[in-house]
Amino acid sequence: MISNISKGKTLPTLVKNITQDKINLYAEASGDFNPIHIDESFAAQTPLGGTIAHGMLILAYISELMTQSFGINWISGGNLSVRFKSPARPGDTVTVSGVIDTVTYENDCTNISCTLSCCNQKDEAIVTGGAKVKLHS
Amino acid sequence: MAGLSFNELGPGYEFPPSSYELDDAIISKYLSAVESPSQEFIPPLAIAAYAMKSMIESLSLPPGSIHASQEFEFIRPVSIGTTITCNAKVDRKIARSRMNMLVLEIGVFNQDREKVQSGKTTIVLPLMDAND
Repeated sequence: MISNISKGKTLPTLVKNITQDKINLYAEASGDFNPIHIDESFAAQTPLGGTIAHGMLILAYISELMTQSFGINWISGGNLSVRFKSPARPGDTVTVSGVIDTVTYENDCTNISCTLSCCNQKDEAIVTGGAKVKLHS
Repeated sequence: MAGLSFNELGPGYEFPPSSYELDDAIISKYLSAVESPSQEFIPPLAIAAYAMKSMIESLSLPPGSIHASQEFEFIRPVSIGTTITCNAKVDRKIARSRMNMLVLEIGVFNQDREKVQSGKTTIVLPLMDAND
């Protein structure tokens, strides 16, 4: 859990390397065997030009960042709203980051909203969006 | 069973519900895939992945379909061994000149019928011929 919660505070950054093996592992774990993720010859023939990571894999990284930052308050009471901007591909290094936008207090709760982003090694946005979490005192 | 195509879906259509027991083997496999340490509760995105799976299996999406946006509300923690039931329905269906869009709502419940998670998924589908 992060401490000293205040507007402008950055959340701990998470860095993950995307590999085809990891994408295949996620396909096995999630049951999502869409060929755009796992079939390199099929994916090469599509406009994407190659396989891409599952969007839900990237969201798992974002959720991990939020869990590290806010613990049970994220798992029970968190809200996530994101847009997929571009695909993450094998060989990419993705960095998940967040910053606290607002902190408000209501009764015995602290309401926090964060801006989140996930970028590749070229600093291109893969996912952008925001999250809300409520801390109970 | 072949999934339903865009033209066969309408707003309000409810997909058949599906249930999964999220046992230790399933969650260990998921944690390994996302390189996440073991936790007291199931990661909410693991639950979401299974909810999405049940929905996607009921759909016939043309190649080139893109997961465009996603919303989630995580309501209750879920422990390993819980059986979840996933409900999904078509919220909106948007036909545009160059693409189609589906907005799908997901609700996930535990075995006590308590809602543990809800979500909204937007998928952009490339235009296919009139029969798709």
